Amino acid sequence: MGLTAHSLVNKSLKLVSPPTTYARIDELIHDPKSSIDDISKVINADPALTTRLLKIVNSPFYGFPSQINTISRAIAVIGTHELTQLVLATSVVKAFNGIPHSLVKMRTFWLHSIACAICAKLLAEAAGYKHSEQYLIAGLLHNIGSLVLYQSVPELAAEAIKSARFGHEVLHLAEQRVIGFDHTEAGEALIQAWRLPESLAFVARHHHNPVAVGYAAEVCIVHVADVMISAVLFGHSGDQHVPPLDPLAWQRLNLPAEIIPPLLRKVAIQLEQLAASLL
Amino acid sequence: MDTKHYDVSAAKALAERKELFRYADLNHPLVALLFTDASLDHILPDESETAWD
Repeated sequence: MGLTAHSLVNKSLKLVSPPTTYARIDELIHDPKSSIDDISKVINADPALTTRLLKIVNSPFYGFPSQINTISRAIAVIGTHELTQLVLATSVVKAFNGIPHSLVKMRTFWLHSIACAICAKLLAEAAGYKHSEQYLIAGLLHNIGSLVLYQSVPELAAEAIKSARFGHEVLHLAEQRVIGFDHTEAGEALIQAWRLPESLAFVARHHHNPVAVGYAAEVCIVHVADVMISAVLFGHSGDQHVPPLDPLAWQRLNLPAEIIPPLLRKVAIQLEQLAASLL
Repeated sequence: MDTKHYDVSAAKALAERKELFRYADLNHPLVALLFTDASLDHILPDESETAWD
């Protein structure tokens, strides 16, 4: 039987740490009998996670005037939903180990992903979309399937990268030819295996192909953010080229091009702040 | 001023930029802006890959 995204993810699951704390918090959020104290207890049971979360909420990224010393206070200030997103973000950036440096350096990979996350959130705000924090996590996870490929089939992933670099095909098409599927399918399979929200799997699966899903807004936002961040070289995910832009995805956002340079300068500032806390 | 050195550096930078945009359509206004806008050069204080590692 040939290699599939799901079989590869099943293999990869033995090597990566699933975001279990996120899953537990998500259960509590959906339990009408749970309280902020219950959520705080779950987070506090993981001292390393607690420390990282408090570092982020006290960073210039949020810029609160006074120190936030406890998780329950953090929930009160930024809200349960946003803190849960941060739990997920801090968990996934620590989930993968053992990726060959020759394919991608983890810091470089996550810099690209964090920059995309911030850019997606800012694009969503500029375009007037509500709940812009959800675009942050969608941007962060859009390329997570690449890590599955790098970890589980490093030789084939290297061949695809080489083909994109020296040949005439974009990386995800090279992956499809060499491996049989690409990082978007692997990302979708991993996000589903982790039982994260389906909307995150949807964006990961279609971020290179927004036409396939009727130019869904969240896919268009991450698609455009990926192009922008690749163009200004904030890290990279293994693909060392700017991916092709679908003009209709950009059109869907209905934004003037003039806002892009100041928006990218804002991304640069927030990237330094968030990367210092997350990485 | 060593204009020859400058020309070589500029040509190298342009070639690298063109390679980065190999699969992008430079005729699209957003892509063209990302390709040409000088204000986007070095918008991180120290953005080199090695500096981050």
